[in-house]
Amino acid sequence: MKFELQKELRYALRSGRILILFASLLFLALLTPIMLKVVLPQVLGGQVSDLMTMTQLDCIQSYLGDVFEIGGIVIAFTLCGLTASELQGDTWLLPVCAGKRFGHMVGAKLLVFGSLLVILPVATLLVDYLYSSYLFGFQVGVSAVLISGILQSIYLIFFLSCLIMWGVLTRKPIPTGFLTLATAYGIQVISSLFGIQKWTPSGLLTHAMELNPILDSSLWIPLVVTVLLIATTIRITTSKLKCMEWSTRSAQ
Amino acid sequence: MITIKGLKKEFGDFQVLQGLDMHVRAGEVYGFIGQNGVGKTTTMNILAGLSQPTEGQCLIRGKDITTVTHPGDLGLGYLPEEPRFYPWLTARETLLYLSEVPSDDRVREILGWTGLAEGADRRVGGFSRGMKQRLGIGAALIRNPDLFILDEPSSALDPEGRSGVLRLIKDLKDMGKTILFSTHILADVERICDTVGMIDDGQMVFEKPLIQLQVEHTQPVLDIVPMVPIPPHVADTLSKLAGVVSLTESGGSWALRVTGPGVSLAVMSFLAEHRVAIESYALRKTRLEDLFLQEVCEK
Repeated sequence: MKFELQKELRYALRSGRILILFASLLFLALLTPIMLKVVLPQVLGGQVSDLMTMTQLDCIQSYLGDVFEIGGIVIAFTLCGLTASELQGDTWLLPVCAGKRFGHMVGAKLLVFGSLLVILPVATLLVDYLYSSYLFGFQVGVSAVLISGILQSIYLIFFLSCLIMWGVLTRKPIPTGFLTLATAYGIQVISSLFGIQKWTPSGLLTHAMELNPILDSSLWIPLVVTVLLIATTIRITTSKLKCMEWSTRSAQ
Repeated sequence: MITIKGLKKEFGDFQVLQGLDMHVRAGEVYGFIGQNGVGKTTTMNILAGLSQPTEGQCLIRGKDITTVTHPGDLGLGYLPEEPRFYPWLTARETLLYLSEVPSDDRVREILGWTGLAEGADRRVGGFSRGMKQRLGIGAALIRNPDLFILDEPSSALDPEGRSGVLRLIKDLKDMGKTILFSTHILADVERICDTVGMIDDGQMVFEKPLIQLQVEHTQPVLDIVPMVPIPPHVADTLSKLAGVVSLTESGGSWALRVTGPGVSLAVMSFLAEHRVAIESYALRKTRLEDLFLQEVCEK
């Protein structure tokens, strides 16, 4: 497993994936406070902007929303080739013949990129927190921000597991990106319509947006559901890989 | 080492393999030849555990491969037609990644053997096709298997690259390994193979030791290059001349399979009688390529 992890880390570093994700999230983290402090009042005009008083809480909530909406698109199309390109490009053929286990190969991707999707969003959320506190003043505690960041990251790990699963099922990177976005936004829309958000991974985002410094007991439901969904997508992925025809020609 | 009985493989309505039989003995180099699209790669994919047969039996070391759940458990070295590597990894990192028990010494040894020691720390994305092919053979050897399945290892390489790959296959044979390799370069088969199997329409046409094939099928061939084209009626009469088995023309050059070296004198006399000037004339034995073309034409 050590060499699978090393390989994924090298891919993340050498292909510039880390840089793209970090730059995108950092851009959102820095842009949101400026938008709310400087750009929005100018756009709305003097009297309307006087009625709307923006706070650090609004700023962080806005950033969290941006990460789900815009960051999701960036993540989907930056990592859409994680498994799809391996199958489309036949790069998994030699490792499979060399005895690499499907569980290890998929697990290494989930661990490396999952860790990145914890570290980068939390780091950029802290940047957003510090920058917004500079512009709006400290109104939110750092523990609440950290809890929200971690909840959002758990949701992003679910997002990543969808990318991995759709990549294996479609073998094509771009459709993988679209299907993952459809899954994520679809869950959000449908759960909102039926009022079952707390039963879905979207419930994690709702909790994250609340910036609650204390872990709510109702949080366990979306947490358990998300973990189960991650396990299910990985199970589907490895099952599909095990029964796959690895014909070097049909894959091309 | 490998026994295949009645192997069938269907892709939808298309039946690629139609009851293929094959037998590869331990320690030999087996040349698997055939035209493009007749089922060579499909057979090799099935043997490598990458594809499931529709029907038939495939035994490797006496074990039915359909009972093996993971291709890596077959314990063989497989080189696909066009090996794909991670372009961002170096050759050394690639071999370490593919190792079962990673060892720097083993990787260094393989890099030296494949002639990639100097490029060991270069990213594979910048490698030539020949270098990738040699790295692929090195990757197949990394777990030290006793059986190698190499799909067109020397195809699409320049003469130097081909020669390098053939040297590696010879080295593997000297190490006591069993090698099954497919190719359409028949000269390569004649250079290194012990046994030749020819597949056509998903079935084995012949499977014989190369020496036996040469003894049974070798006939003298007269290669004639006339200074002016041979008129059709002269060529027709020439093909019916006593001792001439067959007559084929390719690019202005004529190949006459004859029953014995003595027939060449009669052929030359005939051409002189019909005032056909000769630019060059050579008597040689039939090559595997002649046999291949004959079998394909007969089919």
